[in-house]
Amino acid sequence: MVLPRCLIDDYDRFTFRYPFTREAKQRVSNVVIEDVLKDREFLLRCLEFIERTLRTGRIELPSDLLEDVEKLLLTLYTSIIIVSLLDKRLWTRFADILSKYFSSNLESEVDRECITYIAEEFGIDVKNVRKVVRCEKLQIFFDVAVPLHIYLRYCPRNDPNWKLVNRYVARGHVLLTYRDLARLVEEAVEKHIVNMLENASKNDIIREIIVEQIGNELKKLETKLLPRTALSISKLARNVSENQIFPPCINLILADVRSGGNPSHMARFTLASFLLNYYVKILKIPVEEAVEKVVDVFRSVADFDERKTRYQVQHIAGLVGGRKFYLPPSCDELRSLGLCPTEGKCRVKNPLGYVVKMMKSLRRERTENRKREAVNEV
Amino acid sequence: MGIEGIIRAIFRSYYRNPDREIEIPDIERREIAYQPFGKEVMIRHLAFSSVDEFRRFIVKNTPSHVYYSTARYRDPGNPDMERKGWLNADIVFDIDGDHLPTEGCRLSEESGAVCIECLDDARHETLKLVDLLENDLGLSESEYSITFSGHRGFHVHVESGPLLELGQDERRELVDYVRAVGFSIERFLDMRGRLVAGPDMDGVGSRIWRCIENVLDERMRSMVLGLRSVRKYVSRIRRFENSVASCLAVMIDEIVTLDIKRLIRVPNSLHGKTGLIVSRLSKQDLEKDALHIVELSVPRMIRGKRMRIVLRKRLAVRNVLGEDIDPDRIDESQEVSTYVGVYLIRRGLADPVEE
Ligand code: SF4
Repeated sequence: MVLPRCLIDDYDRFTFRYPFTREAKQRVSNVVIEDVLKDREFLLRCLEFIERTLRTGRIELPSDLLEDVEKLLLTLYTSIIIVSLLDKRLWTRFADILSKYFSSNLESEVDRECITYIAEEFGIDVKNVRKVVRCEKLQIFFDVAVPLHIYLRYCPRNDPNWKLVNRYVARGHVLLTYRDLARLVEEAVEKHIVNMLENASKNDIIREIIVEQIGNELKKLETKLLPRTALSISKLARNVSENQIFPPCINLILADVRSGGNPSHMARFTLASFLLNYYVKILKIPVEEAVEKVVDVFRSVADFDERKTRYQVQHIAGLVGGRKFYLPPSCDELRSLGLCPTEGKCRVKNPLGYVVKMMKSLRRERTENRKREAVNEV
Repeated sequence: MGIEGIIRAIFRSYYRNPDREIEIPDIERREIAYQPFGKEVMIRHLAFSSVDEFRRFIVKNTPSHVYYSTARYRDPGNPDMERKGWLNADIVFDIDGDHLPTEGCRLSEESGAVCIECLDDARHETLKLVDLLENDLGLSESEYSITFSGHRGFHVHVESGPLLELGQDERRELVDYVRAVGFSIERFLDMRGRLVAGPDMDGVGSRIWRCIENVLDERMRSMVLGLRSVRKYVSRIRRFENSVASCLAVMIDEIVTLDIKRLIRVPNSLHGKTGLIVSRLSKQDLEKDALHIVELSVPRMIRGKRMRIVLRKRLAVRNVLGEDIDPDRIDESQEVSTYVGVYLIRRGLADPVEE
C-alpha cells in the first residue's frame, strides 16, 4: 500500500498522534526495554501518568512529553506494562482511554487516506464504497465499505446505532462514513492494547524488574484506584443453604417443581427469573451456565420439554428475543397473583430483596460470632 | 415382518443405493451422531476420515436419524466437548413451519401432520432468506446450500468463507439482522432526512423499499418514497416501523444459528420420524413449489406405491404433504400413498392395516 501524506509529510506528528502503530513502535525499536524499566524515576513518572489518566478518564500530557515524541511513546508503552501488573478491572478502563486518544486524533484527520491506512494496519480491510455498490446515492452518502465479518468483530456492542440491523449492508459489506470508520478503528486499537496488556502480564522477567523497583508504590496505587469490596455477598452465598435465604414464595414454587408438580405459567416465570437473577447477579455465575442450572431445576416438572424450557429461560435471561434480562415480579404482583404465602410480610419489594436482606443479616451474625470467638480466645 | 421392520428395510435399502449421494464437506473434522432404529438413544462423538467410510457405516448400521456437527473440530471423536478443539462452524439458518405464524402452520402444528400450505410458507420464508443472503451478504449460489429438513422446513448452510469464524456474539448480531430485531427506520435517513432506499439499490435498501411499498398506505408511501424530507414525520413513521420490520424479518430459529456446536441432519439422509429424504435442493427447486420438493424427497423405492392405514385420531388438516386424505375417518381404514402412510405412522398418527 502507498504511504499516506499524513505519514510522509510529518513522521513526528504521525507517531505522536497514533502511538500504537507499527511506525510508532519502530521509532523506539532501538531502546532496550529492560534498561528503561530499571530507571526508577521514570517508572514513578509513569505511575503518576497512569493515576492521572485513570482518575480523569482522559490523557493529559505534561509539557515535556508534548515536545518529545520518543519520550511520549516510551511513557505510553511502559505504562501499559505497568498496568498489566494491576488488577484486570483496570485494564479495560486504561485501554479504553488510550484508544479514545487515538481515535479522536483519527477523527480530526483531514487526510482521508490516513484513516484508511491506519484502519488497514489494525486489520480492518477497507474498500472505497464505489468499488462495492453501483448506486450513486449510496456513493454520496457513504465513504467506505468494510467486510461484514470484520465489522462484526469490531463494532461496539450494546449500542443501537451500531447494531448491524441499523447499518446499510450490501454485497457482504457494511457501508460506513469515515467518521464511523474512525470509531471502528478505536475498537480495534482497544483490542490491540488489551492484547499488549495480556502479553506483558505473561512476561515474568519484566514483572520482576518492576516489582523490585516500584512494588510498594504499585500496591498503593491499586488500592487507591479500585473500589473497596466488602466481604463479598457472592462468597457468603455460596456457603449457605438456599432454603435458608430464599423467600417463602420461591421455596413454595421450588417444592412444587421438585415434587413433579405442574406449576402455573406465572409461577414458572417467577421461579426462573428469580433463580437467574440470583445466580447471575448474586452468585456471579456466567449467564450461560446459569441458564443450564435453571433448566436443570425444571427437569422434574410434569410436562418437561428441554428445548422449550431452554428457549424460555434464555429468553428471560435476555439471550434471545427481546434482549431483556427480566427481574422477577414484585411482591405486590405476586400477591395479586396469589403466589405470596405471607401476604407481604417479608417487608421487601421483590423476592430478590429478601435474599439480599437475609445475606446481610447472616453476614452481621458471622462477624459478631467471629468477634465473640476472638474474645473467648483471649 | 411388522411395519417397523418394513420401514427399516426401506431405510437399509435406501442407504445401500441412495437416490442422492450423501455428502458432508470436511467430514474428517465433524462429529457424527446417530439414532439407531427402535431406540431413543443418540450415539454421539463418532468420527470418520472419509465420506466413503461414513457411507459404509450407515449401510451397516441403518440409522433412523443421522446428524453431523456444524462445527469443525481438531479432534471430532473426542467425547469431551472441551477437548474437541473447536475450529470454526458453518452458519446454519433453520426455517421451520412450527415457528411460522401462518394459518397453515398453525393447523399443522395442531394436528402433528404438516400440510402442503405450511411447507409452502416455509419455502417462501426460505426464499426471503436466500434473497437476503445474496443481496445483503453478497453470497453467490455456490456459497450456500439449501436442504429440505425432511419435515416442515428448510436448512440453509454457509459452509465456507470468513463468516465461519464468527463467534457467538457476532452470530447474535447476524441473527438480529436477519430477524430485523431492533430495526429503526430513522437510521436510514440521510442528512436531509430523505430515506436511503430505492427499488434498484444494492443490498438492504431495495428490501426496505419493497417493504415500505407493501405496508404503508398510499399517502405515507408517496411521502416516504418521494423526494421529500421525512424527518418531520418521523413520529408518524414510527407507527409503521414494526410492520416494516416484520416485513424485513426472516423467521429463522435463532437458537440454531447461535449454537456453534450444533448437530444437524445429514443432507440426503432419511428423516426417521417422517421417512422423507433430507434433500439437498437447488435454488431452482426452491423456486418451484412445495409439492415439487416433497416429490423429490420421497425415496424412489416407495414412489407411486400405495398402502392402507387407519388414523388414530382426527387430523386438523386434510392435506398431508400434498395428498388429500380423509382426516375424519378414524374407524375405517383408507388407502394413501405409501410415503404419506409411512409419514403418519412414524408421526404416531396412524397404524398400518395388514392385508
Ligand atoms: S412478601 Fe415478597 S418475598 Fe415474601 S413471600 Fe411474599 S412475595 Fe415472596
